[in-house]
Amino acid sequence: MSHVRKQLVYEKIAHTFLGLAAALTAAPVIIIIVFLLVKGSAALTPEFLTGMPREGMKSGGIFPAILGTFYLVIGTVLFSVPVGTLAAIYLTEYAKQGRLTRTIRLAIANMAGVPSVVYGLFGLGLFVLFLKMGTSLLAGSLTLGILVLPVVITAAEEALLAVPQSFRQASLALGATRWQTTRKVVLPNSISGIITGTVLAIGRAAGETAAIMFTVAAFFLPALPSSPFSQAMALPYHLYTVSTQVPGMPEAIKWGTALVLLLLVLLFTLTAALVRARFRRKKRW
Amino acid sequence: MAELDGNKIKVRIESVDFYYEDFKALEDISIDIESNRVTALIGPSGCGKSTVLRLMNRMHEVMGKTRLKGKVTLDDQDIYAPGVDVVELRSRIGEIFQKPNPFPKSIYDNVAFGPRLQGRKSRSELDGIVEKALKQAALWKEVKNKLNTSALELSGGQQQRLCIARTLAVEPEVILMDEPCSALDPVATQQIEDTMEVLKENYTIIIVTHNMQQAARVSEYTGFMLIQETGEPGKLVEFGPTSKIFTMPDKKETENYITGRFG
Repeated sequence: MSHVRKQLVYEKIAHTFLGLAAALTAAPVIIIIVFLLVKGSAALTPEFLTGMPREGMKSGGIFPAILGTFYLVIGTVLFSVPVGTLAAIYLTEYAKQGRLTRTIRLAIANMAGVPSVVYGLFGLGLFVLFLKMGTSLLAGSLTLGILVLPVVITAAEEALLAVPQSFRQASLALGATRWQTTRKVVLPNSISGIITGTVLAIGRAAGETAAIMFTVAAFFLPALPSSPFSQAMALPYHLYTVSTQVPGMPEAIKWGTALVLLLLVLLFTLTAALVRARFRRKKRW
Repeated sequence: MAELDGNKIKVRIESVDFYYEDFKALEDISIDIESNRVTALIGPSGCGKSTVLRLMNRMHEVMGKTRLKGKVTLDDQDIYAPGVDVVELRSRIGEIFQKPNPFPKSIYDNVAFGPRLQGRKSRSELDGIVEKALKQAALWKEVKNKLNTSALELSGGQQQRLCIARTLAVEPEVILMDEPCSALDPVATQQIEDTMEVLKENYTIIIVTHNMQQAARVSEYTGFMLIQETGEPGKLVEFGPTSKIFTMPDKKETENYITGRFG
């Protein structure tokens, strides 16, 4: 077999295996979605989406959990996106690259690896107990906010670094201050990347269970949350309780809850993706 | 040889040594730059021409740790004195970069960028500034009907003239040009050179170029720079009226370079 023929065979083998690996990563997602749709779509009645739970949560709706998760996501984004973006701006635009920035980056990388239950306990200790926020939407949002900070910072940093250095030089050479350069040139050109980080943060925040268990989530509440200091139900924790803590729970409620959680995350992601596409259309260099 | 009746000195570089970290990039550079002239800096790659340029608007400070010994003055004011506002300095000394670097904004917003930084916001005032700057950069006729289209739709030569207009809108006194035509075709180059000819009536221009013919065409004064070897600092070999440098240079190295014997 000639050398060229042999290389062609290798090429084919490589192509096949690489394709398989890619398919393998997509498969679980597809299977989960199909499974949830098949098993859960029957539960998706208007009452299920908008009603309060009844009969020990064995019937009725999951509206409080949907609303709770919605509030938590908003709270998380409100805290983590500004703080994360500002931190990223500091690291890329202001800080002298050196030991300090290396240490901060190392800390951020390690933050991403801390198990979420540890964040939950941290939130319990700091926000719930020490700062006396109690188990509340505020404490939960802050805990989730810290949990997703590494995601936000990393995405924002990458987005900022992707802005060509020549734009910064042009701006500074025109007599702009560093902050003017950041605000008028760097940020507008990195906004789509920052939104990507936000999307990832939303996904994490909406699905997180362990971090909210001790800081906000309630097993069952008879009323909807009325302020940031209210306790709230939340979808992931609700899913956990209906799946494991309540005997004789109808299957449809479990699958339905899981499906709603998935759809909610999808909805957030889609919205953010649309916003991002809008910004991206304007960007060409 | 045309006689030059010495204009007032606009920028004076006095015995400057310059370091990036511990690397000595320039040694003992002294140049007097006359106002309303085009001064060209020529020399082989890596000889420190661009570094000399950036000494004047302190743009090298953006890139990292640098150190300067000696003195650089603008209108007899030391621009490295403590308390000098770099932002103000850069609005007095503009820079045109090697590659055209318009912002991904409209043509109008590119030119209005500098004036807006200075807090000039009224639409009619900005309209006037934008038109004037684009006219000075000889771009107005080509773009007057599409001021709101993206600057990135322009050709390379138009983009570079837009960058010139953007700099002019800030009303600097000195314009630094770092090989402004190296990414452009001959026609676009010609247009930029014509523009420079007009601009020097109102501005002091310092241009770094690889292209010796360009230096000969556009400048009144030329400085020739050289490094002995890689790792050595760049030095100014000779500085004088362009006509003299290109016809009867004092130094052997200058003659070798302009006659194409190396570099």
